[in-house]
Amino acid sequence: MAMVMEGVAMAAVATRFPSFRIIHRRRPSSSTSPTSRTLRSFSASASALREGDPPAPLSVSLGHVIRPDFPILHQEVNGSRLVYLDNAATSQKPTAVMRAIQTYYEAYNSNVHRGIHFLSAKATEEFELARKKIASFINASDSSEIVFTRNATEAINLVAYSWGLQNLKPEDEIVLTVAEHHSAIVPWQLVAQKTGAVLKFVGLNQDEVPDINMLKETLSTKTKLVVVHHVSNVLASVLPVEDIVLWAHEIGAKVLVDACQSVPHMVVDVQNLDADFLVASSHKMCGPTGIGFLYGKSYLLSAMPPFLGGGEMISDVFLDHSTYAEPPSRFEAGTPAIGEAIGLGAAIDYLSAISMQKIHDYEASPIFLIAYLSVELSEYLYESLRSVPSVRIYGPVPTRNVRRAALCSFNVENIHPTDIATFLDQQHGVAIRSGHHCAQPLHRYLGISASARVSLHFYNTKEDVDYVVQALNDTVNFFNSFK
Amino acid sequence: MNSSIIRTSTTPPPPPQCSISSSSRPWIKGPTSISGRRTLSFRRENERKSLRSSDSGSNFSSRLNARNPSLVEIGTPSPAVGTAVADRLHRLVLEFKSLEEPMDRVKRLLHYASRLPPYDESGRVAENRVVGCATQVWVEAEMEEGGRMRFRADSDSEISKGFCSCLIWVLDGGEAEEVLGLKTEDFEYVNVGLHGRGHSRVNTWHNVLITMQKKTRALLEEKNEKPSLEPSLSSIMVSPGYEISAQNHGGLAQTHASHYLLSLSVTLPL
Repeated sequence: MAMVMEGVAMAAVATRFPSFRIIHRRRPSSSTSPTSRTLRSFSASASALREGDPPAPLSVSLGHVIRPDFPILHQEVNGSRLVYLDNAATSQKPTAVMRAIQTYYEAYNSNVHRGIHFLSAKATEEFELARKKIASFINASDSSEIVFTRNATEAINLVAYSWGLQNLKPEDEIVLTVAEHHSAIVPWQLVAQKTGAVLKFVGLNQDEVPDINMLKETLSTKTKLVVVHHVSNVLASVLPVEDIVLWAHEIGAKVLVDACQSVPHMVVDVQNLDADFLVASSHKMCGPTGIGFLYGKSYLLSAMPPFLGGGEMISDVFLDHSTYAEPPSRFEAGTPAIGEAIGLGAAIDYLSAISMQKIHDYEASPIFLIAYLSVELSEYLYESLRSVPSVRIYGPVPTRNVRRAALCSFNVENIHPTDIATFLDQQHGVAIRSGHHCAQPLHRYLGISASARVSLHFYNTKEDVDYVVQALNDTVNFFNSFK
Repeated sequence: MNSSIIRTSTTPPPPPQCSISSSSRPWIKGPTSISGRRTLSFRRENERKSLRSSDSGSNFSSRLNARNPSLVEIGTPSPAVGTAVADRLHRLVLEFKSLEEPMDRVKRLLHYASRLPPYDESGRVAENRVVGCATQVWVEAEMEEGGRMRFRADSDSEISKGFCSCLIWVLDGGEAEEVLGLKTEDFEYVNVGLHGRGHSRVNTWHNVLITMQKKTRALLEEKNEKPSLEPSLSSIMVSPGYEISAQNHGGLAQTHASHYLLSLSVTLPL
C-alpha cells in the first residue's frame, strides 16, 4: 500500500496503456493553490479547442488534468496501479481539502460560537463561511437553511424524528420508491411504527427506473411526505424531482430529496427543485467524512422541534425547561465537526472552481452536447461493460432521452459479485463495490441478492473504464476456468 | 496471538497444495506485473491439470475428500487423537501463510470450495443464513451424542464457500469446548483481500465462525439444561429463530443470534 512517486505511477500507466498520453505535471509550488492550477490547466486545454475541431486528445480531458490534485490515486495496490471506481460509496479528496483541514488544526483550532478570543472567532468565521458556501452551492435562499449533520443519514433522521413525529399521525402516508437507500427507508419505518403512518412504495417500470406515473397515482390527500432519491446509487437513473415536487405540493405533501448521488456530480438548485428538504453527504463530494448537511425551507425548520438536546441548540436553560435557539443552531447540539465542515467548504470551493456543469458534462452529458470533450464517461462505461460476456447491467438503457449517471451495477452470470470484486482488487488493483449497496429492497425487487458496482467521478478517465472492462473479462475467464 | 495454536501443535505443516509454476499461472503476479507486461490470457487446462495433480498429495484435500460432513453420516470416522481442532487450525494457518501471493490464496480457496459437499437446497432458508456477510452463507450445526460438533455450510460465492470449507475442516468433529475456544484472530492468515484482522462487514469467515460458535453454545447450553434426555438424544438441530444483539468474545460479533428454536430428535426406549 506504499505510496509511489508520481512519476513511477505514470510510467506504469503509460506502459499499460501505450495508446494514450498522460501529461505529467510537476506538483505546484507552495504558493499555487491546486484549484487555480487545475483550472488554468483545464482552461488552457479547453480553450485551445474550438467547436468543430476534431475530438480532443484524451490527454486533455478533465479527468486527466485534475488527477494530480488527488494524491491517493497515484499509488499501487496489490502490485497494480490503483484504479478507484467506488465513488458512489465515497469520493477521494483533493489536496486543497486536506490542506484546509490541516490549516485549521495548525493555525486556528478552537471551539466555535461562544469563544471571545482570536482563535475562536477565526474558527467560527470559517465554520459559518462553510455553511454559506453550501447554501450558495445548492442555491439555498439563506445559509440558515443549512443544518450541519454527521452525514446524510443523520440529516434524514433529523427530519424523521423532528418533523415526522410532530406532523405524522395514523393513516398518513409516506410515499417512497423501492430504489431508496436504506438510510431513506429505515428512519421512516421507525417513525411509522411510532405514529401509525403508512409507508407506500413505488416500483420500477419496464425501463427499470422508478415508475413516476405510479408515483403520481399513489399520491393522495393522505400523502404527507414523499421521500425520493435524485440519482439512484444502483440504477444510475435520474428522477424528475421538479415534477414530483409539483405533484406533491398540489396535494399538500412535503418532499425530501436524497441528493447524495447528485450533488457531487451535477448542478443542484434547491429553489428550482422547490424541494422542502434535501440531504447530501460531504464525503461523496470530495469533502471529509463525518459531515453532511440538511437543507430545509426556513418556515419548516423554524416550526420543527429539536432533534437532539445539548449545548449550542438552546437559548436559555432552566432546571425544569429550556428554550431553543433558532435554526440552524437548534439542530446542532454539542460541538460540531468544525474541521470537517471547513474541509467541506474547501471541497465546495474546489468543485465550484472547476464548475459543476463541466463535471456533469464530462461525466454524463451526451457527446453531441460537448464539442470540446471527446469522452462521455457514463455512456462509455455502459457500452463498454456490455461487451463483457453474460453481463447484466441494471437500470435504464441510455438513449438521447434517457440519461444515466456515471455508474453501473451489474452481475455476471454464475459469478458472485463479491468474488468479482475480490479478484479485481487482488489481481488488478481495481476498487469496485459488491453487495446490496444499502438497497436491499431494490435488489430483492430485481430478484437478486447482490450486484457489483462500478462508479466514476470526474477524476476517472476513459482509460480507467477500458482497464476495468479488460480486467473484468480476465476475471470472468478466471472463474470460468474453475467450473 | 497464535501462541496457543503453536503450543498445541505437534504436527509438521502440510506441504503446499498446488505446485503450479508461475509460468502456468498468468493471473499470479510475477516480477513483470508491475512493469505492465502481465498478460491477461489464461491457460485453463494447465491450471486444471496442476490442481488435479496437486490433489493427490494433499493432506488437507484428502481429508476433505474422505470426510463427508453430511449430518446423516455422523457415524463416519471422527478426527483422531492428535488432529484436534487447534491442531487442524495450526496446519491450515501454516498452509495459507505459505501462500505469499494473494491470488494463490484465492485459488486455494476456490479449490477447497470445489471440495465442499453439495448442500441440500432445503437448507438454504433464512434460519440458516449467516447475517452480516456480503454474500449469502448458510450454516447448520449439530451435536453428536458424544458431544462432538458437526457442521454443514454453503454460499452463493465461491470464495466464501472456500472459507466455509476451511472452517468446516477445522471445526467439524471437534468438541464443543474446542469450537468455542477459537478466536476470530486465529484465522487472520486465512484472509484474502482483507489486511490485518479484517474487522469488516464483508469478512465472511469471521461471521461464519461466530455463527458456528453461537450455534455450538446454544446446543451446549441445551444439552446441559436437559441432562435427563442426554442418553437418548440422538441429535439436536439448531437454527436461530429470531435475532437480537449479542456480544461475542470474538471481537466484531455483529452477527446476532441468541434465541434459538430447537427441534429435538429423541429416541425413547420402548
